[in-house]
Amino acid sequence: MSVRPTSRSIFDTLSRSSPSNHICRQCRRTLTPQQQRYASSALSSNGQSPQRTIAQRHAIPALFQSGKTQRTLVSVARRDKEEVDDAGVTGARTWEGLPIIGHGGDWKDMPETVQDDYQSWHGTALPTLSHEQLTAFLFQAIVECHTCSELGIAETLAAGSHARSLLSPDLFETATIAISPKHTIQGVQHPNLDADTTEVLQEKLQSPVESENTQTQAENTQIYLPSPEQQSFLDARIKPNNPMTFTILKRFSFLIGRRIPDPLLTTLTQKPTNTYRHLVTALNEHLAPKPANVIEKLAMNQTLANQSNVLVFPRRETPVDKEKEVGRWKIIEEELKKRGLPVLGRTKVQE
Amino acid sequence: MPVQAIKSVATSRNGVGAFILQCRRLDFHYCDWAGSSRGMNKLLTSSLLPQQVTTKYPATEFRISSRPNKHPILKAYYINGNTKAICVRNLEPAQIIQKAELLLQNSGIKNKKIRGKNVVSQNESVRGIWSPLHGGLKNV
Repeated sequence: MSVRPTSRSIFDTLSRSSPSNHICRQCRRTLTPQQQRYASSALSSNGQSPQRTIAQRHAIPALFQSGKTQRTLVSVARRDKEEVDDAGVTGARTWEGLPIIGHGGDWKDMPETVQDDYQSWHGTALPTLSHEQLTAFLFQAIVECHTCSELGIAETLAAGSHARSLLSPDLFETATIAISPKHTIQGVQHPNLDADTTEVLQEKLQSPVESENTQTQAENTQIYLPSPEQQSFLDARIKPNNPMTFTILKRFSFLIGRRIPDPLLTTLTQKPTNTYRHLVTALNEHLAPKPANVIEKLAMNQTLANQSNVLVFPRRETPVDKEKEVGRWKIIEEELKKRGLPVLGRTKVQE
Repeated sequence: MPVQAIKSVATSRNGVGAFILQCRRLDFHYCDWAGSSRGMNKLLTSSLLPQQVTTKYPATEFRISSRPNKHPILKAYYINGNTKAICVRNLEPAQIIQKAELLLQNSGIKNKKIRGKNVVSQNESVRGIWSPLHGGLKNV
């Protein structure tokens, strides 16, 4: 009984089990062992790979399949060339006019797919909202929620995701938010609310969210700004245990097109005396664009800039700035111009 | 003719009567992008700098300017014309303040190696300079 060395038997097993992993470096196709052998032999014989199509490059010649020798291959090639010459066909020497098949092998040459048209929602700049705009949206949210509550469709409103105002602007003009003696929102008084409006509101709520509704109310510039008398609701306290508060905040969130962060809500609701004015102020600070660099941060906080012995440069301090500071730059500039030299940078020396 | 003492005029010394801080200007250079400027950027935007440095030294000019793609540095300009710079890369705000204090309280004189044996003093000897004509005369 012959005993084979262990390492050799393992190698055999591995070579038998693993398929050919040769991949064409131009078209990234996996080649069969036969194609691989032909490709390597063609490269070694010529020294460099000729310009051919993918089909030609990976075609296994009949001679290789039949197992004939290299000598036979050369003789057959000569015979083919003679036949072609006889037919009066000349082979292409350049690629001009030849059809391009496939791509150049680079990702940028590949045709665009559906995934390439995808636009990320992350990082898209939303319009900034002022304190007045936030107040207006909060007013709208409260009026809509309490109106729906009176009509008995508050749950439908809370479940929906309508991003546009549901009521007409003239209804907002006449609406008044009533505040209880305990400084909480009691309800909304609508002198112009009739049966037709109720039906329209119900239809709007029950209809599915249309494509135009994907644009939030915040993106729409036409909003109703409440009068100073109507803004008295800002002094009403936020009641976290009231289900209506949740409905109002959700509606408010949909109208402004932004989420109200949970930490902000938690902070506000921890103190029972916090009002809707605190909510608007905190949200306005949260939604304000963050400073991008140190200069913007320093511009926001004027403590340092207000000191007489501190100088903040908005950009790099250049050598020109140093010359300007001592009043030498005008003279330098004049003298350089007089001599025909560039004031900044260099000129190319012509040989 | 009696021997007269050598006349000397009182020399002005910094700190005798008045003290003038030798550092006239201190530059804070930072980079918005580089991570080595994190401590410096934090210091500049915090209340530490006005509280502990700029208000404490009103006679010194402080300049803040960016130096893109470079490590953060502190550069001090002195009355004698010298400049001293310290690289404060990867340092915390408190460490940068220590370096700023070092530069602000510096005299601006070039650093010298102090050897152990020689006693260096600006004050004259109490006994005066030895002279063969004064004191300890021997009559032979």
